[in-house]
Amino acid sequence: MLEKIIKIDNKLGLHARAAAKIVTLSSKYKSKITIFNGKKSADAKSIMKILMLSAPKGTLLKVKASGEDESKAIMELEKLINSKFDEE
Amino acid sequence: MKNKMAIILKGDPVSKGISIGKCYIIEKGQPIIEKKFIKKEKLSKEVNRFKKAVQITLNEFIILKKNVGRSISKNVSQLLETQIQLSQDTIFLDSIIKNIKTRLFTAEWSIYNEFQNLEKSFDKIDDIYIKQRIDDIKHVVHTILNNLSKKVSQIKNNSKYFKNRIIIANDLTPSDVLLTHESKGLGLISEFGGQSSHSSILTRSLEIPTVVNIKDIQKIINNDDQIIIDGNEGIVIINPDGDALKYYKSLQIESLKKKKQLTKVLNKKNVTKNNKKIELMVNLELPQELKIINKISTDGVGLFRTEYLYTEREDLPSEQEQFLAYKKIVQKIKNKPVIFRTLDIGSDKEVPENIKKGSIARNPALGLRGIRHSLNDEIIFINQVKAIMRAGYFGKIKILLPMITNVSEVYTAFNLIEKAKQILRKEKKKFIKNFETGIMIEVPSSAVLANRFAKYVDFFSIGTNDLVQYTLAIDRIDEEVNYLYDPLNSAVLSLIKMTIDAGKKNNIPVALCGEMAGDVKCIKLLLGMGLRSFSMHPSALPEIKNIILETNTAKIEKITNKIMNCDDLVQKNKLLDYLNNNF
Repeated sequence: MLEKIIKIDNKLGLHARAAAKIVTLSSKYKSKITIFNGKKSADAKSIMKILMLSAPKGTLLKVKASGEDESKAIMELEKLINSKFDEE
Repeated sequence: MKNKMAIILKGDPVSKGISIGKCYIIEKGQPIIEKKFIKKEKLSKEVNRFKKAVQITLNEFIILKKNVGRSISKNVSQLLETQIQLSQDTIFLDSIIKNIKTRLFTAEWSIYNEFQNLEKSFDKIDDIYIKQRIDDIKHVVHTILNNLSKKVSQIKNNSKYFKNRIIIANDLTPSDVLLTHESKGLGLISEFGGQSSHSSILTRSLEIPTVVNIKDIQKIINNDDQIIIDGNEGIVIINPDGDALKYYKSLQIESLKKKKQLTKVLNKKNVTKNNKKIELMVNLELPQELKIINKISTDGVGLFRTEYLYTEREDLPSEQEQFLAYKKIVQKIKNKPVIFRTLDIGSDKEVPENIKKGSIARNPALGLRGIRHSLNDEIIFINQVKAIMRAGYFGKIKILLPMITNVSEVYTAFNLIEKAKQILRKEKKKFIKNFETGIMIEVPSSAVLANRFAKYVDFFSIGTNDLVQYTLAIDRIDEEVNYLYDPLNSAVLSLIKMTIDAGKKNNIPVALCGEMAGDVKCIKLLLGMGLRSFSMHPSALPEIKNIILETNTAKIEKITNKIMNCDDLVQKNKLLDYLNNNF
């Protein structure tokens, strides 16, 4: 199992399109991926749950992945979030 | 099939034209869900029924996205992407299935139950934007519920279904209008809506016959019913009989003929009978509309609304994105000016989520809108002005500031434009340095003081929609008071006259770009009041031009004064009819 803290740095936070991108990416991997915002946690493959994390700009998210492709999954997710979801 | 009885309904006409065809209902009203249970032996059947409905829903969204994606709206397709993911969300779907399996809920009740739970969770979220995503979920839930009653064989390609159909919706969104246009729908009908809403303006410029405000039509109409929509009178006939069909078909033919005749007018010079030059321009709010104005000769774009770049998306358009969009328009119009109105959001123009700040105004028409918003959020304004000035390098531009109420707003805006120029210089970008900047006259205060404003600005553009609304203190969207919306009210006419006179006195041009400019009943009156420049929807231009060509402005001054000074409504309308029919 791998774990990483990633900061949400885009202006609008985890809004619908950003959440959709996370889901699309996570769904490519076999690993179970969970994202934590404080006490709240969400399956990274569920857009509903990710939206409910309600993470504005500046939020520190903990991303956990476990499975055969866990390291690649975490790496790519980090890349996506750090690129501010390619929108700025 | 049995003979069905014809039903005639009356609504508000918002876009002219007549269409005859089968209807397609976008959305049934709120479904009524009862708490019901299934028998244990029916369990797997119920789960399958649910799964099928989800599959149909998913297909609908995917097909819709495919069709929209290829066409104009990138932002609409992004919204659809969210809905596609929602209808694939295993956590959501599994908990519904779990409820069917363990509590023997019907699929309908199970969905509803899960939705209520979600609603509660979303309610606790502080972020207003995320909170409102519950509406996306609601839409998905409704679609699944509707599809539960359908069989797989009935899978519908939503937008394919729009083709040659008259679309019926609860309330029209601009995306509904665009989709109808793109997929060649014949007309639009909605239960709610008003004359001057954004969607209505859009459907008018795209020339889709539209009638709004027909309450409960969804209750009495079925998919595929044959209907006639008369966008001239606001009439909808469900299951018309032979006579009605014959009558409306002849009207259709007649209007086609008239259209052909009017196109001849378009090649003539814009002068009145007594040889007074009139400026005729068009209002645009979507780049797609450029297609329409290609066919007609105009003196430029008198009002380019820029809101479309900001709505239906989650982020803000960058300077570069705006520059490219504006440049395209400026190049297309070539040597004629394009007057860009800076972002005018607020009031009836929905404030997009990406821009909304602070609390929701209690009285949006009197709140943070137009120039107030721009002065409050300088970065958005500066970026836009930069993009417009850069586009100006490739053609002719003017900048128009909306909702100005006092002179100091003009100062502040001018300072920001200067600041934008400085930044562009620093960034070494090419842009136009000298251009005209004008203001909208759409609030009584600016009309009353037009004489003073004229010393600071290069031109006036009268926005009658808001001017009427603010002068008469009525909300044109509020159906309980919109009967009071009267552009011919003497107070409104005086304010327009004051603006025209102030322009003349200070030698600056005055144009009118509200809907009044495209109103065949008002145009002669406005000519009589001394107005010589009009900007209107492209679709209104041929008819207006036709009237202008046959008007002798020297002869109408007297009766114009009579109309302006008339306080009796009946008498005023008589005088107006006399003016329109005899001069």
